Amino acid sequence: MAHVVIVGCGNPFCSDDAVGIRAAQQLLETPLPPGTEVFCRHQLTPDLADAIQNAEVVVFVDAARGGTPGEVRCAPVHSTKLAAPFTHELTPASLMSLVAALDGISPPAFEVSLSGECFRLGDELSTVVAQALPSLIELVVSILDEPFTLDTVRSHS
Amino acid sequence: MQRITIDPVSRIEGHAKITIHLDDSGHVAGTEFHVTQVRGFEKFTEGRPFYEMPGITSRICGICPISHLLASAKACDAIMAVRIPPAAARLRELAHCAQMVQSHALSFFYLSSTDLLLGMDSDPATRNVLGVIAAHPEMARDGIELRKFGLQIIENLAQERVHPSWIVPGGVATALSTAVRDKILTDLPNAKAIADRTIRFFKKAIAGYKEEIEFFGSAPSLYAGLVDRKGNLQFYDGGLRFRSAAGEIVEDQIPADEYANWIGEASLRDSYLKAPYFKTVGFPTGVYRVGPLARINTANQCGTPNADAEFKEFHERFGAPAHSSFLYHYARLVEIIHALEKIESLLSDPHILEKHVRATAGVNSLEGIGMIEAPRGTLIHHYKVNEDGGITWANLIVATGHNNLAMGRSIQQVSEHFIDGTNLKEGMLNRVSAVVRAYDPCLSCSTHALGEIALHVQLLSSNGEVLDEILHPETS
Repeated sequence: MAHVVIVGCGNPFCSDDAVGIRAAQQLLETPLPPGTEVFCRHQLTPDLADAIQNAEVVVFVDAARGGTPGEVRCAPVHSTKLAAPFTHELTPASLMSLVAALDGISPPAFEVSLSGECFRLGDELSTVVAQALPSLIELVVSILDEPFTLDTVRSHS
Repeated sequence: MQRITIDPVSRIEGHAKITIHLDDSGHVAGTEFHVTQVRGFEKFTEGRPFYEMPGITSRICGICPISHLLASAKACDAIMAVRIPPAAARLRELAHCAQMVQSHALSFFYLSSTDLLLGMDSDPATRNVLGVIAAHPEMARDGIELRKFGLQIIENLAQERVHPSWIVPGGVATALSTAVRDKILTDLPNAKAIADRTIRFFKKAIAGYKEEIEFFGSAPSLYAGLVDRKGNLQFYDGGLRFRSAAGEIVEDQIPADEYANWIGEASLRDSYLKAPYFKTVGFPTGVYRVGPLARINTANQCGTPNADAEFKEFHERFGAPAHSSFLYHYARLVEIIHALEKIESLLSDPHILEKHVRATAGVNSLEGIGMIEAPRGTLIHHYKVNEDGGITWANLIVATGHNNLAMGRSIQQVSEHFIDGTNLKEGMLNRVSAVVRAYDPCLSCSTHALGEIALHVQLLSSNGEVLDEILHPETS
């Protein structure tokens, strides 16, 4: 039983930026494999390091700026050496760096993203993103269903 | 004349700039503290139904939304003229104590510990949270754990950790379950252990900061904070007390609806932050401080055993009142211990599990004022409504605003002592920022319009000569 941590983040009042949170909220209502934890966050914060450091795999779910609106992608997250991290703007990579700095290692992680069309103030997803949301969730769930190795991560990249 | 600008001031909440003017011999001639953002909640909430105000004003801040929810809800309670159920009062206080823990942990561990652990003169490239993790991993882990403890209580009570909609006019939205209560009690010993070892660490480390203690905003001032009828420190309820620099109680048990008899507000030309002052003394000399240091100075004791032991040691070591703003860090740690003890005592109270948690009523008063102690100091929400409950006027006096004059004075003192304009070093400027950090200002919270915004615009030549200027309004 893999311990998987899923973190969906975004601003629910900036239209398509909410897609990560919306996905995480739907995942919370979906039957998931035992050992899966789901977090809904407005932004990534250092206190997530505690949950992440015990995970076997970490999945970040977020909107992406750029790319074709509605396109779903999956990419590995690499922790990087940072010069001056600003805790208001933690990225998946900087959060994994924090975990690595605290524990010496960090679990494999990757980001599943959905390209947004509109990031203006608003509490609704754009039509194209709303239509693509089920595909985003399906991809996350399919990853959870597979035996988890780094090859699995690479195959979804 | 030369000018040094620190822009932005780092590791604070919100946006600010400091200007330091040097004379021809490189000595500090003057300083200015500019808060460079305006939020305007007092104006754009006009017309909204009063019961929306907790939800709207919680959006003022992402660190201390609970504070605004509580002060706003109390103002709404007054408009409804209700007394909230006992369980609701305890639950609100529980959320408030949890917020104290997480907010103070954020200030100490995330914002200020880099200076305290790595040194004020350490390399700016590593004077950040990763530098702390590399040099003091256990301290970094403790900071993350302690903040998480406070945030999880809020999330377990309110289902959201930022901008929750659980604190409402008349009480709270849902009751506490035994499962949540027991989970908090299970996690509490670890949080208390972290608080205890952090304050022990700090009490040793403070020996290395004698110069900062002497020159970091150490000018005496009035102090203000809420206390109960026995003079115990109060976060959620109580009357406002002012204590003089010499330690005398100047005014005591001021109820929320009389704050305006004692606190005036002035606009400053070089900042969007208002400047509250003690009316009896007047502006600008009626400087008073709020927040952890002021609360520890104002109260007779905390009212919980471990915190009282720390309270006693604090004053034996630094006087009663203690004046150095550097000691805000120490006072913050005492308050974390007090908040954790309060959490334990609230959860042990059987009333807290009662199911009746909300009183309901319509508009029964056309004015309501809510006053609490936010992590950064006294917070006041004052609303006037029409008979339909629409907001006609709102005034927010936010903790950091109370400290505006004191912060300005502290910046002047630190600049005059530490800055040598003939041999400027980065550590000198970091100390100027560090004195602001000691107050743990929440500048996003504190900037709201007071009628017209005062403005002073100068056109300067390349050598600093004033070519033209506009003052608005024309008289101060």
